[in-house]
Amino acid sequence: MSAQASSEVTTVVGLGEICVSSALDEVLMCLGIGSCIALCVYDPIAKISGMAHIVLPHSNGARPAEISPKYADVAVPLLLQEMCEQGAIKFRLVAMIAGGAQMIMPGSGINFNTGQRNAEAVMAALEREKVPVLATEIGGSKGRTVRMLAWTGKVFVRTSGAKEKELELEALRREYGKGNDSR
Amino acid sequence: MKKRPSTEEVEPSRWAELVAKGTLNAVNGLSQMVGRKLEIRALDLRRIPTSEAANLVGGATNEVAAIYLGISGGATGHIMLVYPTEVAFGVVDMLMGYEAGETQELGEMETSALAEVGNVTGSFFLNSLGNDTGILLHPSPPVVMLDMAGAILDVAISDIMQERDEIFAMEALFTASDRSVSGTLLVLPTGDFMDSMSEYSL
Repeated sequence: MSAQASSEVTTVVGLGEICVSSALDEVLMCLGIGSCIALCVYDPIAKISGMAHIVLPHSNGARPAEISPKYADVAVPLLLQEMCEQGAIKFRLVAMIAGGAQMIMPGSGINFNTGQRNAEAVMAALEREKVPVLATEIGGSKGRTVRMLAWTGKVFVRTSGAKEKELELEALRREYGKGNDSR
Repeated sequence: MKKRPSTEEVEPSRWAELVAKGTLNAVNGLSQMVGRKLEIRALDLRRIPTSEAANLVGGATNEVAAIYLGISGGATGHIMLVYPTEVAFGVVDMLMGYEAGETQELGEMETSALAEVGNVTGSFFLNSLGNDTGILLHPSPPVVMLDMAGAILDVAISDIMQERDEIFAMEALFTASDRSVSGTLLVLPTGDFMDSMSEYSL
């Protein structure tokens, strides 16, 4: 169950935005995401969190002026860079991903699989950067709201019509526990 | 190369006139379908950043019922008829001849009834716009969604944001005297749609 202290400072990470924080009381949020991806990255030693609200998979074809973190292939390296500028160390970073729903099912006459393509693009970009993905809550056909506690890196996901739950962090603890030298 | 879309290329008053006429047609169609007199309470044309789009439907986490139709043909875009969930259930009660308050979830029949509401509304809107501009506009089959407003809007926003980070939204609020079928009609054209309007409608 998630504690939601009244002293929390909530920062909403809007469409195509990224945010980095290590504040003790700050909560980063992506609200009501469907095909978008909430990418949550954490440095467990420096206790620095980063969140990106990714809308589209690839920036190829976009005009230079339109290149922004709304694209997965831009958001991932930019978020990691900003986190490292604020004291995170790249090899310690771990990622958690939520979103990528397919809001409209195949056969409805509308071909939108943006959610799946977004998820694949984020995973591929993280792999290129050698950042392990420790927990995911992706796909399905329902919207989600994602909260990340900046200090602890804990990520909570509420799917439409369901209760909020914490993304499985055992993987993070195992990863952290065995040391980070292997990466 | 196709020229970049610009909402400013369409004379605002002409666009507003076309949209107002289309909306009136759509609400008349809806009115006939639900058997109630409906009035357009507000009609708003706005150009807003995509980051503020969810405010059009009460905020990103607001749980709503929406009927979505894609626009294809001579121009592309998105139409959404958005209801508070309980209002959508009320509309189903009315259409299906149920007692008020009987619908508590959407089964196959109920979903189909709501889809038809979207179909009628969207088709009437596009017919009007198409007749006035000479552009062939086709609605996709309707899709009914019960979800967070932000997630539903993602369907349109992710398409529009391939071109730009703002949307040109037409928002119509319509009500009946008993408010039981009040909802919001959102039309979210792509840049390509506005481009077509600038070429054909003036």
